[in-house]
Amino acid sequence: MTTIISNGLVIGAIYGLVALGITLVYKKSGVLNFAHGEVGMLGAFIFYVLSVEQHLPYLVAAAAGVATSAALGCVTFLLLARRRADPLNMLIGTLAAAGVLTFVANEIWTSDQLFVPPPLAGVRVSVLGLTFTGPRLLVLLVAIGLAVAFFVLFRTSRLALLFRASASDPYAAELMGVDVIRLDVITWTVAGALAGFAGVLVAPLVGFDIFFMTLLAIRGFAAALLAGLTNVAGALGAGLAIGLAEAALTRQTTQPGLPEAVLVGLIVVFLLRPQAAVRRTA
Amino acid sequence: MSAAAHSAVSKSRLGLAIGVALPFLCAWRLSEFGNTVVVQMCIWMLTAAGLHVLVHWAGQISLAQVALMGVGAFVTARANADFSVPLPAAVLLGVAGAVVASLAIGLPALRIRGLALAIITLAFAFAASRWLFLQTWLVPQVSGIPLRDDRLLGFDITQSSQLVIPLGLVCVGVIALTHHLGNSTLGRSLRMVAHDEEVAAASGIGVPAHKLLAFSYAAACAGLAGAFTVISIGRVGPQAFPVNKAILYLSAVLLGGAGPVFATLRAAAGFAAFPVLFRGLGHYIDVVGPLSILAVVIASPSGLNGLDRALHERLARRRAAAAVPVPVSGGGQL
Repeated sequence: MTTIISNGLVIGAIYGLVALGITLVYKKSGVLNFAHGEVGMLGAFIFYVLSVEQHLPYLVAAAAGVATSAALGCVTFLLLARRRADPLNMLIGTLAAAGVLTFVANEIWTSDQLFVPPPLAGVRVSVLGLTFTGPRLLVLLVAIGLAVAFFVLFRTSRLALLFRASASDPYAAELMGVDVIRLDVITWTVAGALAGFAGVLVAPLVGFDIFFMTLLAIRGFAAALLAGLTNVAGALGAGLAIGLAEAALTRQTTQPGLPEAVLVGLIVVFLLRPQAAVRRTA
Repeated sequence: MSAAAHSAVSKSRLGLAIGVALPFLCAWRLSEFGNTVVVQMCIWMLTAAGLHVLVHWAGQISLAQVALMGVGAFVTARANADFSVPLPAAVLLGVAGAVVASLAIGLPALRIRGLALAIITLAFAFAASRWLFLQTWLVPQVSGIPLRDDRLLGFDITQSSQLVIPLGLVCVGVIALTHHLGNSTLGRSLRMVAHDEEVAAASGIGVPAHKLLAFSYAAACAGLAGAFTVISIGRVGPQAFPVNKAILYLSAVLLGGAGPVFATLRAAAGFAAFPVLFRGLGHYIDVVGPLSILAVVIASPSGLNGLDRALHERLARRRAAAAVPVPVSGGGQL
């Protein structure tokens, strides 16, 4: 049971980070960014190149990976900025961007599985009766740290106030002198960085390939949807809930793909409720 | 009937006659390779026609079309291979299976729409490819289900030059039905639902029924396309319907743009034919699709229909300018 909880918390924290990025973009721009996973995937590969092939320190390689993802998030928005008034066109644009990014990654790294040596290997820590290995604890701590920092900034900074104002009514915000497009650029960049964090954190835990973030992004989308697509705190919570549910199911069954099927069932149940989460806002 | 309406009916009839003749012409004139390309184009157009109705006329974004194709394909293959159901009846069973499965997606769609529905349908496609199609009660062999029959309505389905005739005729029938639907009262009601559900309900239009109808129609088209997919390759396995193909189908429909179905059919045919006709590009073919989608999204957000409209307007302006009489002399300017 404790193993299920510790595993679920770690993977759930990652889902939460992914969902956070998706929710941020949706809340600000009204767009589902289907390239979110691929943006994180390329950051993870840059992290791999610098860490494993160039032997740079772990933190430097990780920072470069996150910066790459942030830049890609920004470029994705700038590419589609002309169509920002049309979420459907933006959505299909992000799908195409995802295709291009996957192609680029496939060209450079092929679809082989790659491995990054995990940091803090050999360390085992017990917290509240839950045992974590070093790499997994690092993932959990970084994810929680990022989430806390994010929420503090989201509640207290002036930039966050402008973000909320422009997300609530972009036209009024623009009339009041808020640079809405600049805020869009910042939002997509931050979301890209969050995807990069997720990629860089997960990469040492598993053998990864060019599709590994796609599977994470699907769970991220599910978590974001369960939280109503605009509820930033809820997205993180829903990510944790999905991670825990998945860890429990994976332990109980050997049926391939059953966790995914249950995930769909969960979403449908939520949506069929009259007070469906999707109608709520933050 | 007015002259314009009479002309439109004549054009429709001429189009239908050409459409019916095309499969026979393909079978007669094209090589086996050429007919294989046409078969793929027909399967893509079948799927896209249903999705066009759902996305552009009913306002529902679905990424589940490829999963519904899979359901249609597996039901058809199981019915024919394991229960000895004749192929035409097995195809109908496949269509029915896809329609029943679509209700699982259609029910949430009664409460949500737009981008949230895109996630739900994507999750359904994901679950279908990763779980449903791996279940032994649906697909007993990992190597796939081989069909028992090798003839459909007397045509040898192992030869593309023969399969193209029944498939082409079915495709023309579905296109004609979809085009007719777009111009009918039902089509206008669907577009009203997509435009504003509350106004549609206030006008006496049954919003849930219309949404479910659009889902069922799209599912029937997907089921038909799935059935013909298995017929065209002779067997079907769990890997035949990957999630990423759902994105390509939606891309084709969005590239077509809102308006008549023909632009979407052109996009779908292009998506089907391009990788086969330009094999020389090697693996770079994989990036041509996404890049072209990006180009259209950036340059012409209303898709091919939008490009068509812009072209027609430009031609009309040119004609109007040419029709203005040029003064011979003394045409003083104001």
